Amino acid sequence: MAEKESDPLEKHLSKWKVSFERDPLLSTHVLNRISSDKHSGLFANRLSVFRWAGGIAAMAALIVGALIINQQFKDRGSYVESSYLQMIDPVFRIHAESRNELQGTGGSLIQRLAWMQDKLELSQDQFMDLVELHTSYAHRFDELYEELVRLEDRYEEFEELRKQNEMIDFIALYEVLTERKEMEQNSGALSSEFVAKVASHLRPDQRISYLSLVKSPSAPDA
Amino acid sequence: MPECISSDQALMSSLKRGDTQALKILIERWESRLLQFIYRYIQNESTSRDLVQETFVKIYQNRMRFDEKRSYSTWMFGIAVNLCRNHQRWLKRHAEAPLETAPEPVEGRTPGDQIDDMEDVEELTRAVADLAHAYRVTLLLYYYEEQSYGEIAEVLGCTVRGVESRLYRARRLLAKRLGLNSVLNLKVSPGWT
Repeated sequence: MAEKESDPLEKHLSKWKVSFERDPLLSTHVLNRISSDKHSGLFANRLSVFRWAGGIAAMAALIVGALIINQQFKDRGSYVESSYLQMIDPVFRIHAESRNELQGTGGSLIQRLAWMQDKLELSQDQFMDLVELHTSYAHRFDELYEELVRLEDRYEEFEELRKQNEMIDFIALYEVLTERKEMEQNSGALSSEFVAKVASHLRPDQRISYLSLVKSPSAPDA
Repeated sequence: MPECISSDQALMSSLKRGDTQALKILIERWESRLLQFIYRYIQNESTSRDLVQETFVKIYQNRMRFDEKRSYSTWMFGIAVNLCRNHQRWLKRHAEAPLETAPEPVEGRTPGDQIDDMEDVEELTRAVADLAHAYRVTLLLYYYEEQSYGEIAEVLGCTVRGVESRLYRARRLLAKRLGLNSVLNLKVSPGWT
């Protein structure tokens, strides 16, 4: 920055010094976090292994575990349903965020889906299939959400310029809005595809409950 | 593994093979810069420290997706930028404490000069905090982290030309807020550097 000191803005910028003490425990904290996440991930992997191995004792422990988790979650009603829609519908997530209704995403996927087992009366096999399915789509939903956030940021940039009475490139704005519309359509298509796959794992009575659950203003029509 | 000669890419390769010692070295190497960047964006020390920690956790979680042909710093700043943006969006919906401004006194200046500097810095930090996400990131990465246009483009997922115009606009918006008319009157193209 020194070479451009004659620039008055850079003079201002260069005055902003920031220096903090290093956190001597940062590595430890990071490794602890990783380790606890690993255990949560290992738990999910083991569930899958046990399923194929058919270990009776392990399965019994799982069922007890799932029952405990279900007990914790079953009273949460619409809170978890809204949280679920945010998980499988990036557009819903963006809208929930703008309504200040974004739910936390803590806990492992098994914990976050445990309520489904109770509400839809899923068998253990069905539950594990659905956990795998949700895992395989989670990354794509997150990516679409990130894209939508990026486009909203771009839109906010235009809004900021407009407020500052700066010139706006209307063609660029149109492109952003068009891209956002396409992204929302892609998101809707992915959510619909996902819902159809979930439904294919369910019995007819479970399917009706599930589809009524995911039918919301911005949730996909299945 | 001798710390001083291992490139960031080599450390990421080790991390992919399960060597958490490599992560410790990366933390050691990048903590300060990352904290400075995030602090300038968020302007709250405690939240910035949390986000630094979160950045390194994400680095570990996404280690298999890192391409050793890419720049590590660009990838790392990309993760940090996303976390800052998410935090900022959350903050918007949950308006809370005001920004924390703690400008450091500049050595070798008279007390009067230092007060002037601190006032300038307070004004500057408020102006930076008011910038839209992409302008803020562009400005901070360019001036304080010395990232190139190409690297910033990679972080923001836009073109180099997009970075040029964002930097140009960010400068104008800041100059306007700070009353720096000489900057506003500069008839420069977006590629002013």
